[in-house]
Amino acid sequence: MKSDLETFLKNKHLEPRRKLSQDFTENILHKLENPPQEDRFLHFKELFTMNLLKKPATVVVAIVACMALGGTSYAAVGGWSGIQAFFGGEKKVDNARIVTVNTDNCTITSAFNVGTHNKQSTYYYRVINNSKLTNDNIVHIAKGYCESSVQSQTTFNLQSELSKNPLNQNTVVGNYVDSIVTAISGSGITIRSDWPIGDSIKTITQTFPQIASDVIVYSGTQRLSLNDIHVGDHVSLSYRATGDALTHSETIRPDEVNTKDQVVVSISKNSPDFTAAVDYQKYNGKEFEQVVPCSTHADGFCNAEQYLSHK
Amino acid sequence: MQNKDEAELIARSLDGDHVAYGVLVDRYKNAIFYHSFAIVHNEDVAEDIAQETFITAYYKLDHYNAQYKLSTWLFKIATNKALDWLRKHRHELSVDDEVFDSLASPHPGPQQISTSQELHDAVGKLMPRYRAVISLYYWQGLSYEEISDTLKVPVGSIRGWLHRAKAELRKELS
Repeated sequence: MKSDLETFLKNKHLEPRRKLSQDFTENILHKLENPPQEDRFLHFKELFTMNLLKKPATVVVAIVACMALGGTSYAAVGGWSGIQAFFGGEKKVDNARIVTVNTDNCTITSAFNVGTHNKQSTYYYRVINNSKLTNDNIVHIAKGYCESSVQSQTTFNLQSELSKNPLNQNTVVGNYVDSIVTAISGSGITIRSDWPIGDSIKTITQTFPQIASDVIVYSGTQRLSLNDIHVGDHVSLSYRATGDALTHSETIRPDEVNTKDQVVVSISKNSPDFTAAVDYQKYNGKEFEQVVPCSTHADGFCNAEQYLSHK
Repeated sequence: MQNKDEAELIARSLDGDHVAYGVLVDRYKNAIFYHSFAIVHNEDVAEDIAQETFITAYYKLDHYNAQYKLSTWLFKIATNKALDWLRKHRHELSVDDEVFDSLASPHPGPQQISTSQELHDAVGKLMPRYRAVISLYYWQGLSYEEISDTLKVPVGSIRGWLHRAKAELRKELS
């Protein structure tokens, strides 16, 4: 019997009585391209935020479409300077600890508040026991992520302004989100950026030899001039590109971009803490995850998947 | 570890390239469908779960840890969805429904392993988590360690589940 059973189990798959629908893959792709309206707001925002951190090239028309979907929510943009984050407590749970972070002026759109636009002021993070991240690290990372969220909204406004310039239309506008200025003159700028590529962080130095004469410079919602940008400043930068960037817009990597045809069209000064947003990308899902209080999980907190599955 | 081609497809999917993601879906859709079916024993539900698995995976792709095989991660998502589905729907199923019956084993079964259908019926009467390990180990070819990663259960427990699953099958089929 034992050998019969092993043989049967190894040789006989439990097969459904029918095959998958022929349009199975197409249906999935259709759903990804046409998410429910309520999800679309989140999806585009997440996608755009993700792209801001991972991908330099986005087409102007797509950005305009995102703004149309986001509507006035993105028009009312605040600055990052008012964002604060404070350690709110720690609770031990099985194999982890729950870190509470209280915030001021931080709004993160996530799976926990999709479609409701709730303004959460308290965030919870489950940190695994063998993580080296301290509570201060978690607070810092959370603050940086808040700032990146605000900055992405500011960027929408910037891109809207950029899209009105005929020189930027029908071309590619790429973004470097958090970078540090290592050199600047009236005609060019060099920046250093940390990019999450796969599981690692890659530091990239990029020189842009051209800055547009009508370059737009902001700090939060405050308009600045190019003279206000100095070496050591944390900035987000947009550039207009032609040629190769257009044809490789989906696979382009920042260190593979030919910069000779790129013209810097906007610079936005960031909070230095914004750098911690990269750590959010690096550690999220590996050493910590955002959770919310819930009754359906043993330790009293659910991650996004658990939260959505019991909603 | 993922191969270079798969890593490229994942990177392109992360950049929003749906065509690249479609290639990944085509690559794993049957395995995920078969595995889901092994747990829920209903083709329509299994197809829905497979679809939800790929949609969830797309939105969580930036959480995927490349040191594991993509298929292992997909099996994990599918297994959780299938077990959740069974938990949520157990009260909606009729008393004599095969799936509902299978939640409470053991049951009297056929006397011989004469056809693969009988074996399949017997597997269907196992507890859902036992079905999951049988499917992952024998039909999807995962190792104990990979099943442990998939189900987030220690390797020792996986061995125990598999041992008990086979013991119940032998009893069912003897």
